[in-house]
Amino acid sequence: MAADSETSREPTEGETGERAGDPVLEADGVGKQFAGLRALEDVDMTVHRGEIVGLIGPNGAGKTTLFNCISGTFPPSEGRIYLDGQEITDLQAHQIARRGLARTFQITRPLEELTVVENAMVGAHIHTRRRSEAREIAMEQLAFVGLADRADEEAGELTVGAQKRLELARAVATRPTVLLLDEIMAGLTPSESEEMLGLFRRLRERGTSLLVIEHDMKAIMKISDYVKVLDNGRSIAFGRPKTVVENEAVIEAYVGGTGFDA
Amino acid sequence: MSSLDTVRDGYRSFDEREDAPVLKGAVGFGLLAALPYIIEIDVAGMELAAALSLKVLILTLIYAYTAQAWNIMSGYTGQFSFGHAAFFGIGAYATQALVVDYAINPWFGMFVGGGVAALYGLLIGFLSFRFNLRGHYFALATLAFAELVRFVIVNMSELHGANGYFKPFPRDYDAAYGLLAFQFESDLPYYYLILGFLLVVTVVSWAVKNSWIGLYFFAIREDERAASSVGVPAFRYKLLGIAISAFFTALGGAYWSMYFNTIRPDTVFALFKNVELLLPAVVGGPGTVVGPIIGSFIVTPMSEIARTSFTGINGLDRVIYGAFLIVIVIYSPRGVVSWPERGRALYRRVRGSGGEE
Repeated sequence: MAADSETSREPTEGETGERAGDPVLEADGVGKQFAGLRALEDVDMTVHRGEIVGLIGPNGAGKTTLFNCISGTFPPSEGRIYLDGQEITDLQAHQIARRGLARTFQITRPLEELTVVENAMVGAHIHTRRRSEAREIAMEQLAFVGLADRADEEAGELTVGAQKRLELARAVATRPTVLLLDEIMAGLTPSESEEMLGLFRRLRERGTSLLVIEHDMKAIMKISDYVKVLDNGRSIAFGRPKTVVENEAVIEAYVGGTGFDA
Repeated sequence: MSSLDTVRDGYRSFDEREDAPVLKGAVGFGLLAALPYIIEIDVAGMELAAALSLKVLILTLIYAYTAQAWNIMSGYTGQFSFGHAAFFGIGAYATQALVVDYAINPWFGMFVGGGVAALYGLLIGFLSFRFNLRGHYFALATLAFAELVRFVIVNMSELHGANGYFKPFPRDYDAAYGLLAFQFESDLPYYYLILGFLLVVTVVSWAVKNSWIGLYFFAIREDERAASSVGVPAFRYKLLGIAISAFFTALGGAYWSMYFNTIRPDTVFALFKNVELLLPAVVGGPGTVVGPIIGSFIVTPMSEIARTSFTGINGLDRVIYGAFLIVIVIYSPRGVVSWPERGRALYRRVRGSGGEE
């Protein structure tokens, strides 16, 4: 199985120790070419069940491109992607969502003229066609992110911080196995960020695996079980947060670029 | 508590009842059913019917109907069609071609037209959505597809070319005046027939809106990428929207062809027909269930009155259409139905800034 070769290859970069659970998300040699521009080249990575994996790298490293390839915005030019052992490489976004992978967007995409609860219901309808059931699931997720009392407001009128939480609720309402979070903490106040980290942990307790792009190094080092570093479309390091920050290639990529707290 | 507040609270508690939409619909359609009699009441020695004839009422309901059908696709999914005359004309032509050339009952022809229109809609949708046409580009594509049908029919002698069809007498297809023949000897039954049509499409529209389909439609309208990311198959649902919409629009065309005496490519497929079919929805409130009906009661009588009272100025009704469209689109993209809410917001703001006690 592809899964076996993948796991045996994965922990080569950096010292990883034992990884718990079976792999739920695997990228195998993923590359993406945009008309002459190589955005991603031969990227391998795995997320195991119940893990929080951080995805970091300087601007333009290809983090969001990798997210887009995984979530089906566009297919990768090379390589394969597996979700729960099944190949999803060439599936479309909605099909991948139905297989159990949800994502949020770097710039929030609220369904503005719908209410907060309706936004979450769109995600919940993946499981049921009944409005009442979808509403129930949606309300649970709104309560989870702390938006239950604003259920009937228009999504477009929420603050950025609330919109980020709404995106999370909408994604979580699909009850995903794997959740991709693209800079969901950017633009949040420190206390909002702290709450968000709490939500990450609770999601993991529920058995959801997270792949997280974040620029806030402190947060990512604190929350991640493993960290993957991309630079110029290539994977340059993978390992426990502590070992990754000491990795020379990583320091080079950041210091040579804009530094850690850019 | 003022009496106004009592009324408002009463309304609010009514609004929360589960059967409120049904009751409101019943009241609304009851009112529409009574309308032919209401317009005959003398108001200060002047009959309302002088301004608002039964013919105008029928026309108003026809456009309320077509706007409702257009709304299911364009209002809900946000894919703005500027080519619904294609479906309208196909419905009219299928009905007339079958009844005139083959003496087939118009009710049957109407559903044939609905089917053909739905297929044509699927073709338009398939080609446009596959290549991700959106916004203005999609609107222009639908317009091109509508014009295409017109050109084809003008050049097809099998479909009577530019001459079109002249509606036959019921006896020509072995029927007598009445519901079965789709023809009546007076306007009143025609009014109740189109009211029935409107009721059906309104119930369908409401049911769609209040199901997961409606929520998916709206999600696609708001942000297709976000919708897809949580499992909405946008392509398939956009096709569903255009098929439903095309089907019902064609039934409206069938009605039109059985109400008026003639149809020609340059009437049912007219460039301007595309505007007439959708304008009530845009004016009333796209994406709402009552918007198309309210919009038609504003737009249609007004343009009719303009057309009949200023006969010397050719095309004034269209100027009024155009002006209305511009004003609404710029100042009130959510349509007339959003005005009460906007008024309340304004009232709150004015009272708020005026200093509370």
